[in-house]
Amino acid sequence: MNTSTEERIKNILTAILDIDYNDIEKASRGVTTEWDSMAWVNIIAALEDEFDIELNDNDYDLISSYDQILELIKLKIAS
Amino acid sequence: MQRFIEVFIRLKRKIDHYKNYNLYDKWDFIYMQYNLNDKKLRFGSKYDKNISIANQLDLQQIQSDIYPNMSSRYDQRYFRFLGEKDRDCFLYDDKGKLIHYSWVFYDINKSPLASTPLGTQQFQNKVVFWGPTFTIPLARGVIYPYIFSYIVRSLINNKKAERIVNFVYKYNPGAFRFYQTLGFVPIDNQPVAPIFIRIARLLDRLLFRKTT
Repeated sequence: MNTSTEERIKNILTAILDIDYNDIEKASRGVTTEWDSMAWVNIIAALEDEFDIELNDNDYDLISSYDQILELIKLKIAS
Repeated sequence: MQRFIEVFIRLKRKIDHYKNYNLYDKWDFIYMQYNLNDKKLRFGSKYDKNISIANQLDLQQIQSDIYPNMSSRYDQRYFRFLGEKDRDCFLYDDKGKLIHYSWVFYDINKSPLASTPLGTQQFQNKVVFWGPTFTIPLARGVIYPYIFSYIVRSLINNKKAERIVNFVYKYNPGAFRFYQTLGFVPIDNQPVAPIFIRIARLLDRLLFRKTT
């Protein structure tokens, strides 16, 4: 069974931020304590590995909430 | 009597800290290095304007902006040597408030590495030590990798180093992954706790610790 993009992102965020799966959609940088610089960089690296994409300095700013990540990844996969 | 209790508590805290560092913490470091010659920086220069190297005149602001946010006073001792030539303290200023510092030691024999089991003997010139670092809790989120990028570019421009060394606590896999993503790799021959330390740890766990 294929795991959806949404689920794959949520799994990454859950593993790195160590917060409840159900709270992921509410989590964001600057609000969620666990989302510090180290977690942020680890999320970037994990997304690159999981979706086999390359993110750059302009993309990094968008790694700041579940919704923004989802939008970014969909764009990256489509391009 | 109250004074006696206070002195006892302070002494016990110091002994516990000494024991924890010498029995556990320092044997649980993973030492990593970053080669300045063959790495491509992932993070750019967009926050460069916020970063500066501290001098004595910054001390008062460091004390007022950063010290109240530190959970331990241990690392504050490094600021006694602010402005000395063998080290730099990189500061991040956010709208007039200091929110981060990163020490870089150009003489690793005077760095925190010197008091670890790894020591500095195997390192030649042109190796610098990065740390300790600190970001105030409310500002944690983005700046750290950009400060690293600034430090790397500064070291390359000044030709002050070929390698950066630091260490992370092995029970902090998030930190290990973070430094790996920045381009650090574990160095060969990581120190292993000698047998008498392992026996002492075992006894300590059996006799004094309920968990771990």
